[in-house]
Amino acid sequence: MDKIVISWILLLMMCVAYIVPIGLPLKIRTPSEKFYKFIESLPKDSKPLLMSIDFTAGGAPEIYPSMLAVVRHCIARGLRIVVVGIGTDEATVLMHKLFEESGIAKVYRYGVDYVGIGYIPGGEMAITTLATDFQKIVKSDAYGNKISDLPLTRDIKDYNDFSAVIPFDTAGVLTLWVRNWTPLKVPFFASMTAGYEPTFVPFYNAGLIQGYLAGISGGAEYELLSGFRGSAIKSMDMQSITHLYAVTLIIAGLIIPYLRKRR
Amino acid sequence: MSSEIYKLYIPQIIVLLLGIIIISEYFLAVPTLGIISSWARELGILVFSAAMVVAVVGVAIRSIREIKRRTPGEWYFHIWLLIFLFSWIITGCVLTSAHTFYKWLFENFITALYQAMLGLCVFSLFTLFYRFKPRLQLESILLSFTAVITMICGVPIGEVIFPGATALRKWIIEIPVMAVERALMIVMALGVVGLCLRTILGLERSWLGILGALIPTYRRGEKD
Repeated sequence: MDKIVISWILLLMMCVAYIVPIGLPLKIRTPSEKFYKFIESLPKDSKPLLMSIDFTAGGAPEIYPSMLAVVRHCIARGLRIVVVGIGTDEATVLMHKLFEESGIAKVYRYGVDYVGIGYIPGGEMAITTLATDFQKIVKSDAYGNKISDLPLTRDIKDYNDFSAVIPFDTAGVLTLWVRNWTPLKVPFFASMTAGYEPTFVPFYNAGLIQGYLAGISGGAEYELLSGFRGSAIKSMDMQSITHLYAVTLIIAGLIIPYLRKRR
Repeated sequence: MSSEIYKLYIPQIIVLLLGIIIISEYFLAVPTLGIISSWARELGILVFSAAMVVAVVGVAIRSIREIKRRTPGEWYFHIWLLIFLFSWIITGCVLTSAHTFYKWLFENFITALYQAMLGLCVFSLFTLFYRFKPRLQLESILLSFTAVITMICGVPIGEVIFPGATALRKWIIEIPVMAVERALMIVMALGVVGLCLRTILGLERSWLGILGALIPTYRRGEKD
């Protein structure tokens, strides 16, 4: 089969699945359910959640829907959040987009209920210092306000002042978060690409990570659980159809040359 | 000799001292060690930030050099690189990342290009799926079987075609994959410990631009 024909069929299948969704049933996996239940169990006056944008613009279609659903759920529950970014300098712009699309400013007061710090350079050193000396590494937020002037962040000293840490990762810094924050016994949740899931299953099974959302399917599961339906659920049918197409191509690639040989 | 002291011995002494202090802080409850290692981490963050500036300057210098030389098939790309590099820096510094124009640039250039690049890879991948013709060996059959199972079991349609697909995927991830991942993690951790110790003790010097003991051996032509 020609390369162009394969590509055109793929494009067509993706478009049809997106325009006319089949609505295949989605099975909720335990790690996603645990993630949702944790957010649901937190009381309104609990300590803020530390979220980290560690995904690039290229990885955003897979991880961003999960983050948007989690943030919307937090807003609905009245939970306070602090957003940082370690893995990529694109974090600050993605954070502005997140705040805009989640409509956080309409419900929350900036500096009291949520704070956007944005990109913090330093890689693993920044992750370690965030856990041990928050005020030392973060001096101001993404809008130029002093951290010590904002009611939400002025009393944050270290990891003890967060209810949980949630990195959203495609940039490969999740391992750094795990090895620096899980020994501190802070509830740890994460979102990673589907391809990275096997790497983090040992941490989850050992109880170091309490729950996670893997890829776009994890995002779709969270959207379904929280009721904040977004692009993840929409793209699940598309993913199903394209995966089926990929499997068909693999099988056809194996069988067709064999049949030709026999003739 | 003096340049050797600056380039070789001083960085190694700094690494040795800081390495010992940071490792000791983890095992010993001495407040002074905590203060010094906290200062060292802060210094590390500053060096990290400075490295980014150095990288930008390095890229700019290289591009200017390529434009001056009019390197065939390359120099005009360097003009584009410089235009975008400086427009990003100026926009970010003057308007900040919260400005609509910065967000517009990000959405319409970075995001669009990044996702187009990944999207193109997907199309190539699909043609590869068809052209993938393994020889009929146990390893290749297992590889094809695993690819099909993990692909079809990871999406909702898998459960429709084959009830129990989710349970099968769970078993694959939690038993064989986890065993391999754990083994890899332990091996990697041991490797990292070994590399750190070699770096602290000055045995590993590639970070100084020196390839250990290999260079003098090759120079003498003994290896060949």
